[in-house]
Amino acid sequence: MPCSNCNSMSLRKSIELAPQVEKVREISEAMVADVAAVSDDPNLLFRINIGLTEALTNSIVHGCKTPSESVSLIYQINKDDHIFHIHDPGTGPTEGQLTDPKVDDDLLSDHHRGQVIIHWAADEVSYSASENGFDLILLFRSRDE
Amino acid sequence: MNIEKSKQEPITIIRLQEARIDAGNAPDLKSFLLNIIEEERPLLGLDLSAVRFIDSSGLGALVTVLKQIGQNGAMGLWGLNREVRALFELTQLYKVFDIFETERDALLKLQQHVPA
Repeated sequence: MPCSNCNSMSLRKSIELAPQVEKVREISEAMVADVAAVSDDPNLLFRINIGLTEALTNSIVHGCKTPSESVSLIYQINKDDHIFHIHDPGTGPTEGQLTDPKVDDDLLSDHHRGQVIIHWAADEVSYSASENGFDLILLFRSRDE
Repeated sequence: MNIEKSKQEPITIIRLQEARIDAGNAPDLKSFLLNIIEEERPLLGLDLSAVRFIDSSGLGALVTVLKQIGQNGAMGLWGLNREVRALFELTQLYKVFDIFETERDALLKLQQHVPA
């Protein structure tokens, strides 16, 4: 049956983050709390938590070069899917890390682990880089698992 | 960082009392553990029962400690919940860490590293 209140179930917010990794926990958990208002799928909530944690941490650590720079996050929570748009002033990961992230052959290497987790966690990952910075869009929805 | 440390000779047992290990506290965890394993032959048991969430920074901290221990000692993990275990599997780190179902299993295995 069509949902007559679907539009009212959509939530849109934007946040500006100072480049402090200590803030990521608070922001990610706030996002998860917002999604939890429309979904009780624990797997979805976990994937959003870990996916956002990795993406925001990357943006802060690699995308911001000075304390005056910041990361912006715009997110929209709908009934069936949840979209997170992260912007930082950096250049972003290399093309290979974005399109085909794989666990490094040397399992003890710290390279790519975060990208692998992001691509596992999100259902769709899109990105763009320009002179204005790097944009990453993550879309999450419930999976049949 | 909230950590409990005890000794069950010759094994040092560390119980992480943090629900979340991420970039905000992983450096503290790494420093703490690296400090402990300065012993000549470190045998480290790590109880992750209280940890509900770990990100790549937390995993990286454990990898650094594992590399530092190298062939001179051993580290065993137990108490991984479903989500934490899923990340060890996704990143294939289960292949390089000794992960046990129970503390007893881990301590028995670590005891085998003690020279006769």
